[in-house]
Amino acid sequence: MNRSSFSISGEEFARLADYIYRRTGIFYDENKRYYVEKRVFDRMKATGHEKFRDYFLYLRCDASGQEFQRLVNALTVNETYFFREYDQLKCFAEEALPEMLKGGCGRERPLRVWSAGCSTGEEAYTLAIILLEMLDSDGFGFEVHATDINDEVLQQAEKGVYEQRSVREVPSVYLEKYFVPVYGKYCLKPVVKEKVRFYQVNLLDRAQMQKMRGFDAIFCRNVLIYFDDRARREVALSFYESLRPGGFIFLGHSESMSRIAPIFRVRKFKNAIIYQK
Amino acid sequence: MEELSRLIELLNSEDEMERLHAAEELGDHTSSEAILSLVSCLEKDESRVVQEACVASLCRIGTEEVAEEVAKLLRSSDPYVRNAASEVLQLLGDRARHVVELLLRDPDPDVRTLAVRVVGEGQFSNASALLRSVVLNDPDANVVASAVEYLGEIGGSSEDRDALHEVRARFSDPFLEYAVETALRKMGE
Repeated sequence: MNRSSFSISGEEFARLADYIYRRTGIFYDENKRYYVEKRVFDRMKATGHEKFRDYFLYLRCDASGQEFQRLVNALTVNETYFFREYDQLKCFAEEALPEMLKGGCGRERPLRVWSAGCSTGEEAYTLAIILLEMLDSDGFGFEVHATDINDEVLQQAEKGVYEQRSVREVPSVYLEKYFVPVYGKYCLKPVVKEKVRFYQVNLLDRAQMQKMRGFDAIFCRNVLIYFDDRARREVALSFYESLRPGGFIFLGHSESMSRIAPIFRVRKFKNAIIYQK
Repeated sequence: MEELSRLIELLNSEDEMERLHAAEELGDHTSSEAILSLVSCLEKDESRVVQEACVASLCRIGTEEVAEEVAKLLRSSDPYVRNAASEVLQLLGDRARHVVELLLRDPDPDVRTLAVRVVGEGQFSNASALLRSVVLNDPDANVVASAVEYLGEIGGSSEDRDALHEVRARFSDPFLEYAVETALRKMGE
């Protein structure tokens, strides 16, 4: 079997796309067929399957769920960058944040935001930049907590040094204000770095998760797609306990908390749909 | 043992957070008392978050006894409880196989339909064989239609196709006929 001769029929693609959608909430339409096909081909090769039908059966009936996880990992590009999913960030800044501040946080106590599964830190620093812009001059206090299971990415995040690719969506005014260009890279200024606390947390470790309390908002975007159904449900419950009453949870735009655990209220804002305790 | 009794007691607390923590911690126990308490709490508690914690804990315990007790909730009048029970069985997969085989022969067609969904959506290594058996033997057209739909998705062997062709002879139901056509098309016929 070689890549050039491999293709999935329309029916087969529809079956696969439907199955992936039901399990993860991620929908791949016909336009993504080539993209999906390439990754399926790689997984078929890795698992020694010649025919798509055989591979699909293996995928569906693998009781451990490991192959499904590997396919999802291959399909979900683990790329992160500053100001990713801008509409959601706009919703956080312009719609959710004013509600949180009305509740007294920021003045009586610092606003606490958690970037869960922060990888190399782009999301956490983006949140710090937004909060500096929205709150700092008004004397509001805030903390950004950023966690990941992978200590190597955390070390990288703490450095706060990024390639041009990571900052491509940063508005030029912020790029100038919060970054210093050094030999083709972009270094964050201390004013941003000192607002973010990085540390290691495994979202499935209940003892660690019990320490994560009192957050006003949690960002966990494109992280839960890597978990199986049972783990997703456990993490959703832990997030519920980590949030203050009325706290918000932001998932990736293709993810749905209602499909994971029906314990949060769905809030339809102008810029995005988010979940609230 | 004292700890287990304390947690079971806390499931009746008036404080939702206390019940939530108790439900979560009971997931670390595998005794019958823990399982029965969690199943009862899932069925009766009025807090959705506590019910969800029961579901998560039952999945974590994940024994055959969990499957047996949870299966009883498929008869609940509360759709959330029925769906939650169905999800636990799906997640248990082969560990719930024996229970699911019994459910597929239940006298109540609604329970059989839910059991078909458990097989179709869950992770069962013999899913095709279980669905084929429903297609070939179940007397209810709706239950069979549901199995046909899932077989179209999961199946593909010559036995699966033969079963789909045979079902046409057993029923003359336009909806079922449509389901069979669709399933065979999905199998590439």
